[in-house]
Amino acid sequence: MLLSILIWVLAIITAGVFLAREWFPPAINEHARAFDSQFHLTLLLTGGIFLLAQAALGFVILRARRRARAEYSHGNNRLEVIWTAATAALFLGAVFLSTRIFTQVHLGAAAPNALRVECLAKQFSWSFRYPGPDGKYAKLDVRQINDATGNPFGQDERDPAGKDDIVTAALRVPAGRPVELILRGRDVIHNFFVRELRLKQDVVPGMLIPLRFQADVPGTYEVACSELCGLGHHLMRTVLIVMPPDEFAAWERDALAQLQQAQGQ
Amino acid sequence: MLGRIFSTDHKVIGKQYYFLSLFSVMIGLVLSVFMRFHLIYPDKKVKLFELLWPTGAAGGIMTPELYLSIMTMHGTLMVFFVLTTVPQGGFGNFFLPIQIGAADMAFPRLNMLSFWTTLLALLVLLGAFFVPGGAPLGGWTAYPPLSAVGQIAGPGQGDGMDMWILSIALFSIASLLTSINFIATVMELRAPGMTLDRMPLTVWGWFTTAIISLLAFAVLLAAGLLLLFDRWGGTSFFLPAGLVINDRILRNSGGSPVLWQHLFWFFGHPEVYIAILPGMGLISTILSVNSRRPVFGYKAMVGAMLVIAFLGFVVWGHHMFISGMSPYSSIAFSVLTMTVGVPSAIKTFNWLGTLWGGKLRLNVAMLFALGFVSVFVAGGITGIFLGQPAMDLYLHDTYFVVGHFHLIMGVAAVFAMFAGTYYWFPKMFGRMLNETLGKIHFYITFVGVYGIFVPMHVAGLAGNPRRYPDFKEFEFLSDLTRLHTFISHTSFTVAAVQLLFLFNLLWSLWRGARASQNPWDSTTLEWSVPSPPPHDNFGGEPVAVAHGPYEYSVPGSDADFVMQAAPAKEPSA
Amino acid sequence: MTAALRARVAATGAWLASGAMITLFSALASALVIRRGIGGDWASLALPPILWLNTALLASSGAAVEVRRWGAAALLGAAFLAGQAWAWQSLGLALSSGPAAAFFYVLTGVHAAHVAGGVAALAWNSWRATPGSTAAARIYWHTLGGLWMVVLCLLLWARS
Repeated sequence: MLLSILIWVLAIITAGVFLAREWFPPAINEHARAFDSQFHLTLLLTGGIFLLAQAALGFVILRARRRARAEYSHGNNRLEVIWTAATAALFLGAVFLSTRIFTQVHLGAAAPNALRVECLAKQFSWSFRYPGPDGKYAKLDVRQINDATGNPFGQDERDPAGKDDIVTAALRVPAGRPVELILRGRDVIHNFFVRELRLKQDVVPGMLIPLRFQADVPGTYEVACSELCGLGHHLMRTVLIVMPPDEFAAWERDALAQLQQAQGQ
Repeated sequence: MLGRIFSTDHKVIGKQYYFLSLFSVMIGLVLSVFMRFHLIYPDKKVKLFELLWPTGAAGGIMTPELYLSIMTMHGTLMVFFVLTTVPQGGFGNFFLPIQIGAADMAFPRLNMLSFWTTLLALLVLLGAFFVPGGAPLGGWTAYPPLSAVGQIAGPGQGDGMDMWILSIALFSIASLLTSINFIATVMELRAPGMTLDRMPLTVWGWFTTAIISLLAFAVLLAAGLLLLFDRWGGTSFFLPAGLVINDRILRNSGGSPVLWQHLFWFFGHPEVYIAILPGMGLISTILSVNSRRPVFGYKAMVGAMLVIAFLGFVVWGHHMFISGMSPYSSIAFSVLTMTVGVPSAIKTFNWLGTLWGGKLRLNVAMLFALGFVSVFVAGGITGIFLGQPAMDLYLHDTYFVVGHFHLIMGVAAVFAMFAGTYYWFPKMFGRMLNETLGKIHFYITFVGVYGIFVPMHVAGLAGNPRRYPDFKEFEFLSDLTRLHTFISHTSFTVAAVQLLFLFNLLWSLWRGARASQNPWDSTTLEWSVPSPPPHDNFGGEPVAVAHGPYEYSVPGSDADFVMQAAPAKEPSA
Repeated sequence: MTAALRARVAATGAWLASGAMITLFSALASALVIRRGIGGDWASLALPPILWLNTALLASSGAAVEVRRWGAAALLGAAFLAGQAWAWQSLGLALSSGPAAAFFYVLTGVHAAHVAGGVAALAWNSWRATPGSTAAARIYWHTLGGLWMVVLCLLLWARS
């Protein structure tokens, strides 16, 4: 008796905890909204199954109290077929529904007007570089890596394409424009995660992995490393700053102007 | 005396494994308490930490690297030396031969070798705490490059990592030997009348698990070997070009960190089924015994185990959805992952079906079995989220995953071990455990584990990354302080109540009430011999089996059960 | 246990051990195939010609086992190991000499380690063979022979 009630109470509290508040941060783009929809659908499905199962468990325990002798039975084949088919349909249905959300992130081509940025993940900080007006990045030379002088990528100082490359610690993007972020790693595996985008991607040394997204709501959003990378893993923080397009353009102009000043000296 | 320690008797070996695991789980539990303490009090000075780790916790404050190494050792101890050891090496060794009517395992001396190799593996692992740099900090998953580049990647990644690899290699070899033993025993040493469809589901669980182990640990061994060569042989299996670590440019090139993940998870996913299948067989048995009903759908249960074992080998990629692996692979793995959830669901339905018409006896073993069903559903159902790559784009590497696998492995599988202990203690030691203490143990633990792991799920929904030594750096994490405080305090309570179990266990070993031959009125063969059984199990008597393993409440029978060893003229279906 | 049952049980155990060994080598082989395809740094290895002699030695050893000449089989097995050591030497490379060399050493090395255990088993049988040890040694040894053929083919294939 006590056990049944306990099981029901725990199940209800569990459901309550999930529904107690909106645990996700606000969605800032289409993908995030689609994600949230699929999540809530899955929550409905799994929550329903969870509550039903716990209710059934509590119920059979209760029901058995008044029994004189147990019923002898080895099973029911028809029932087996029915609940197997139902489960398979539900589980597979869930995954088919969500496939599109995943393929849109990973199998779509980059939009032609996408902002190109590169991300460098290293123990224990993030850096980003923009190609600048010439649309080209400097070649990279691992021997020229110098964190102290602000060259974490190891940009080849002699490469003219690098003269207008902007290297930053935070990721700035214009709102409403597709972004293609190429992820690079130079030591161990890291992971680029922004909650509001509902996206994360491992950064794997030896691979160049594109992460395509678009952020629609201006704001500052924390970026948290999400793959254990060593003793500074929990300190690997930066921010994604989504700016109205004109502000972004202004920032870019200022950054380039500062670069030219520095190079002139 | 030496003969008793270096015994080839499967019952002695089973008990040796059990106590090895008990020792391991106590260490693992204490480590987790330290972790939960540090997460909510990261700046508190703790003399005990400083005493245990003068370098890693100088001034009594746990450094991040110490936290991560404690976390790594916690996971390694629990997954290998507890979850993979008690159900198979512990209970399996003790009861498999008896349950099929054999006098011992197929290879008793190999069995003894397996145990001592496992013990050596444990000592080597614990030795990692004592070498320069301490224990490794890359998690039990040991992803390269972090695990492959040695000392320069962080404390513990030098000697400590080597000790870890050596320990896992030894453990893998011991597991392979055990698997060979279990499979050969089931195939060749069943008593007359013990046909495959009369084997208890516990035996099916051990048998299927041994098959999985045989294949999975061979792959882990291969992976560990390649990792060792990347560390010491100058190879580049997992290490790409262009690595710069701690200002050193490494000479490696051409390797792939993702290759390690494929090899590791090809082992790692079947590993979780190794951890749960024996428990599932046991839960089926305990539910049946204490409902006085046959297991509902025995054939479906066997089939489900076999399907889980097979499909378990083709879903490893769901640990790698955001690893940089091909999206097409992700989709394939996702479909297969959903499929493997189906037989688990079937088992749950059948458990409920077993209980449905039953006359329940709520002894402590049964309480844990019922609790198992509850937490297995709770833990398993969130797999439907994680099996979708789209959901994984957010939930991967968050506390949602931590909550999920702890509910399934850290709670459900452990509940099965508790159920097994309360059920089989009388047979193993000839004495009964105290039921009152057992009930207190159950109720507090059952409520407590929900309190610990459900909140972890919502922390994950809030985006809380896992493997963070503290949460001070991020604004969004400051919101979750109260949640984590609640989790930690609940965990301290649950950990403390395990002391009650420990006390019950040790006290009852010497002072428990003497156990009869069959205190639970159970049908399987171990209950037809004395408690504890004689050296050759059946006292030299020939064993013949004429009945199925779950003949309870058979119509037309006087007693409400028919033992498997009963003569054929007893009615059974 | 009767002698016949002992032999059967031993044979079953040996088949299972073979299963584990085959899985181990499959894992290494799949790692080879993948690594060869991704690094862009796979050098073509000139396989030492003595490998062919070693293959013949191992095959002869297998034949010796079939006619229960355990001593001869053990000696031929030991000769195989000596030949493999020679092959290592004559290749003149190291584990660190690129992935092709690395896999050569890893595959032949792991195989040789298992062969060493097998030679010990064969030597034991020449001293005190039982139905069980006979059945087990036979299966184990032939598995290693088969695995060697596969490893050799794999190394030959990987050269191109």
